[in-house]
Amino acid sequence: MSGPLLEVRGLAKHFQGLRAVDDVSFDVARGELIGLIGPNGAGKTTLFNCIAGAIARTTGDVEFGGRSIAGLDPGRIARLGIARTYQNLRIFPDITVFDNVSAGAIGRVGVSLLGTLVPQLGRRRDEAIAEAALAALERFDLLAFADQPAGNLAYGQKKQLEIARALALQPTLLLLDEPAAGLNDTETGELATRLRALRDAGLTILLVEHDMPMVMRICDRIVVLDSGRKIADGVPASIRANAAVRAAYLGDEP
Amino acid sequence: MIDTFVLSQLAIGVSVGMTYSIVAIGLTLIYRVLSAVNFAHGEAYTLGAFTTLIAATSLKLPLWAIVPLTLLVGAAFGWGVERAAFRPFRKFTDEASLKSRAVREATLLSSFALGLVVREVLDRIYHGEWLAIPQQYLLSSPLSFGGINLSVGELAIGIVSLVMLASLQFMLHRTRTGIAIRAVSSNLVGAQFSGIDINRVVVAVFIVGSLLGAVAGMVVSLAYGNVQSYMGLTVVIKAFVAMVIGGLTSLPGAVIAGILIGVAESTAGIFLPSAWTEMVAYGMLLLTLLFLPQGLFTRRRA
Amino acid sequence: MSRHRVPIRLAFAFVLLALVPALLAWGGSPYLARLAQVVLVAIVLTGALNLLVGTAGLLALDTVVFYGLGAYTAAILSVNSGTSFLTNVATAVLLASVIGAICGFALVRLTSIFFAVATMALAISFHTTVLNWGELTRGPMGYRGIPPVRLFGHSVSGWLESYYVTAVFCLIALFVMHRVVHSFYGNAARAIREDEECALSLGLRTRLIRVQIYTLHAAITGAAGALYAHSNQFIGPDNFVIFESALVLTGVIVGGIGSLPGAVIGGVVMVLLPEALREIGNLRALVFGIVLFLSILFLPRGLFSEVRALALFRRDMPKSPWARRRPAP
Repeated sequence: MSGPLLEVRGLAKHFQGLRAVDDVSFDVARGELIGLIGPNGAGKTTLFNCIAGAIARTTGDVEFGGRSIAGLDPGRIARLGIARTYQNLRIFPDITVFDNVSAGAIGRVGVSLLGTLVPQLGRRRDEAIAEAALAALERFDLLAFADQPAGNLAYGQKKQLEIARALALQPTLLLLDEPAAGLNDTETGELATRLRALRDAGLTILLVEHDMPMVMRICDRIVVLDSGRKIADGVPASIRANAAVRAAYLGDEP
Repeated sequence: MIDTFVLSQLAIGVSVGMTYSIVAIGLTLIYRVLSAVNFAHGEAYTLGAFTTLIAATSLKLPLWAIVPLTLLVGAAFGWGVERAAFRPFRKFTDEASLKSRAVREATLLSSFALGLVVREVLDRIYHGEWLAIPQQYLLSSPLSFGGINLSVGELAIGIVSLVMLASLQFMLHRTRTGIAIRAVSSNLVGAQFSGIDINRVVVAVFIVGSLLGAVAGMVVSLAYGNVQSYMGLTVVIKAFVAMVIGGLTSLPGAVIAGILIGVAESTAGIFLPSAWTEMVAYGMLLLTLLFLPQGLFTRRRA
Repeated sequence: MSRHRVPIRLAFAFVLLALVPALLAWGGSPYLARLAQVVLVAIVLTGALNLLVGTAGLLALDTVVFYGLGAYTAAILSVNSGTSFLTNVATAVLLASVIGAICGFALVRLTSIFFAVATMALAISFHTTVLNWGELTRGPMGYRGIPPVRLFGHSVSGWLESYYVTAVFCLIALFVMHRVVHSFYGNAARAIREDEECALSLGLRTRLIRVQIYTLHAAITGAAGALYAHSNQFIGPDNFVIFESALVLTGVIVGGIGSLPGAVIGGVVMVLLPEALREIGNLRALVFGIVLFLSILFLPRGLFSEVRALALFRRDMPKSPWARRRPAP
């Protein structure tokens, strides 16, 4: 059980001549909160998609808890314990908040047709699903909105909902793609606090972000990508001082 | 030596297949621009045939006058279908909205419903019967080329189809409308940035497609001599099969696939009773959807 | 919220099992009784299609395939082998399920409109087969002389008994459909419908659930077909044309996609509307084309939307932790 939770080895993704991800390797240890940063187009979301199985990698390997997950389909990977959110916010707007979150819980616990038709057979699963969903909602202060259509929520709340839904999966590793995008300062602060609390509770988190102050504040380590390649990997202080990183951002203050 | 009967059947198969090809082109053009299927398209074919019928029986027009009349009816119908069944669902013309799943499904159903209404109205008016075109208009005199037996009509179908294909090629490559259509089909965003009006291109595509369909209906009715309100439905389903087998977005693919279906049907007709030859097209569709979702001639998108 | 304490399902069962027969006995005719049965079967068909089109989000026109499979299975078995009603229904369900599972497995990966057209091709192929495979199906003449429903050694006779058989069947089918729609299983199906890729990334078994729903829809529709064969005692290829599928689909859309109460309403409308317009003549197809068109354009969510239906039956979702901790409305 020792060893890194996630190992990315020489991962590459080519799109017809464009090297979106080019020979990227890094580790994520259990209980770490890792930030993945880089200028626009650096390949961060593509990297996420490869890890989560949404797209097929060109070469390289990804090991999760010691086993190779490269090439597995996204459903399998999710059930193994990796949950993700999306950069462009993909919740289900026409169904209720509770139903959104329970979708994640269902993914882990599973549903069966037989268990649905015969209530006695499915009761235990149903309770487990409801428990996980409620716990996730409570954690994100969304319980009051449980019966509303998810589309009615404010943008910031929708972002929270997406994370809550991913958490309902009770994952071991959480991949967050720009969770702070579009949030105001207060909301970003709340998010940062929540993420740290989750990390403290034992969850491993890998986070793509553009909000530098937040990343510097809460991440244990930061991995920097530029044009598909990893150019830096270390604690926030070292990244802040790293000339290559500054050059990549063209002088932007990290 | 191959049996001349078989050769004749093949020739007929090619000819019938070209009918499917012409109708398939209309479907493919629309699919390329909207990623949607127009299930009222078969009625353009039916209306072309009915226009011919009415022109021959009631209006007693000469053959050369029937052609422009059919073109007019076809164009008007295409415009009407677009207006009634497609435009109401098109609120925005950016790519995501234009081709969203909700819009595609809604227009599938609305065009299906519209086609149903047109068919039923014709059915009510003409009592569902097969109606004959007066003898003097028919192109049914037999021809013979070295043992291959065809009728003038069947040959005419082939020739007219080739003429229409050539005209289409000309239009697509040499006229502004045609170039706009091609631009929108291959790169919607780019075309919009160039100032092309998407709505006008959509209307143009419907008009052109329905024109072709109507002419096909006209020629077939003259070749085989009868007309019925449901004739377009059977043809459009086979044209749809041709579109899928042809790769969904490839015009040459649709043409070749249409001919393939026609040939397959007439070949099957040598061995099977005619009722079962209907299934050939459906069988080909299911096989294609199961094993070759890309169709046989995929056109690489820009 | 105590108004919703009125047990809607019990009320509906009461209407079906007590109120309607009473009304029919009081002022009806055999014709009206037959009509009531047709309405009940229509409700089952619409509900079953709604599982597929609404909850699972797969537009389909294959109702007649499984309806016909069920009907012909029952007809062929009962006339040639004298098997009992329940055996016939069971066989019909089994056959429809097996074929449904195969078709579902093969077709489910197609994107929406191609799935729809594939089901259309299936329906037309089925009709052509039934029409031309005379040795098995007696072709265009249809299958006559199907024995009436025989349960527990008693042949159903008279409109009242016949009505009750259909009503009980309808309630059982609705119960099954209700449990599927208003459960976490239904929730999973809806999530897959909304965003398949996202649902997959949440660990939902998208393909499995879709195939299961397709098979269930096939099974229920097949059972309805078997019942129809026995209660009508005659079936013919004309009962299974693509138009009938389109009719059921229209019922689903008009009633409300994804909504079971909507499907019930849609089924009722589908049967009663042409009855009401009987004076205008045989314009059934035309009216339905127009109704379908107008529905899609102006009332896309139907008469009783899914959102309302889900809210209505929210109590049927698992209770204990939920009821304990949810805040008072």
